[in-house]
Amino acid sequence: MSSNSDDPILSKVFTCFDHALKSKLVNPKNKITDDAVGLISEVAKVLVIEAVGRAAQQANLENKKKINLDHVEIILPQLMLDFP
Amino acid sequence: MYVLSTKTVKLRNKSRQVVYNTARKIAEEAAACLDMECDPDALDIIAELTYKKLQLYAVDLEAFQKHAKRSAITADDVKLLVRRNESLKELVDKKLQAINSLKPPESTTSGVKRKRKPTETITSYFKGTPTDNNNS
Repeated sequence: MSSNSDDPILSKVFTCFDHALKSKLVNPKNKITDDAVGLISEVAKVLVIEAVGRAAQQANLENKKKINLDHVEIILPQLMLDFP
Repeated sequence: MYVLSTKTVKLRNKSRQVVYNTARKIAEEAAACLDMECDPDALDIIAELTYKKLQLYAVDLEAFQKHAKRSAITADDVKLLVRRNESLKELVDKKLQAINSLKPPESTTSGVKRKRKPTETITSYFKGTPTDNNNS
């Protein structure tokens, strides 16, 4: 995969999650530092990539090329336990 | 149960869409890195999953902040959040170091507040990642 196509997405992650996180706080008056937002967006990014990676592994076990909902379902419990 | 103003609801829906779209894009790229395709249903569920997780994180982070009697959620709260998972802890520490090294010293202020190194790619997550299940 070309590395060029990855960069715009990853650099967009920060700005996307920045606003999305802030608006999701229970008490809207709370502030959040930029460092914390960057760290959380990193964790969320890893969550997505890990989910895809594990589901792909499951799909490989069944010798399939497409990641199905079933594969995601299988990896879900362990994924939820691994992330806080 | 409390009633949210329509403005808050619309903002929440919008931010939810933003998270969905971003998560979907990342998932597609990641799948492409592994030479696999992803069903749209699977993409949707991964996106929904990250959105729900983010909400949970927000609640936790706020609780930590309140406990520490602070006025803002800081990186320390995030570190506390990932304390259970060793590899996540490493990831967060590494990222924090990277962020701090990119910051200019407090005396100077350049026009750009934050510079991003464009060396991060999704493939770099699959090679020597700190996570347990490695697909490379």
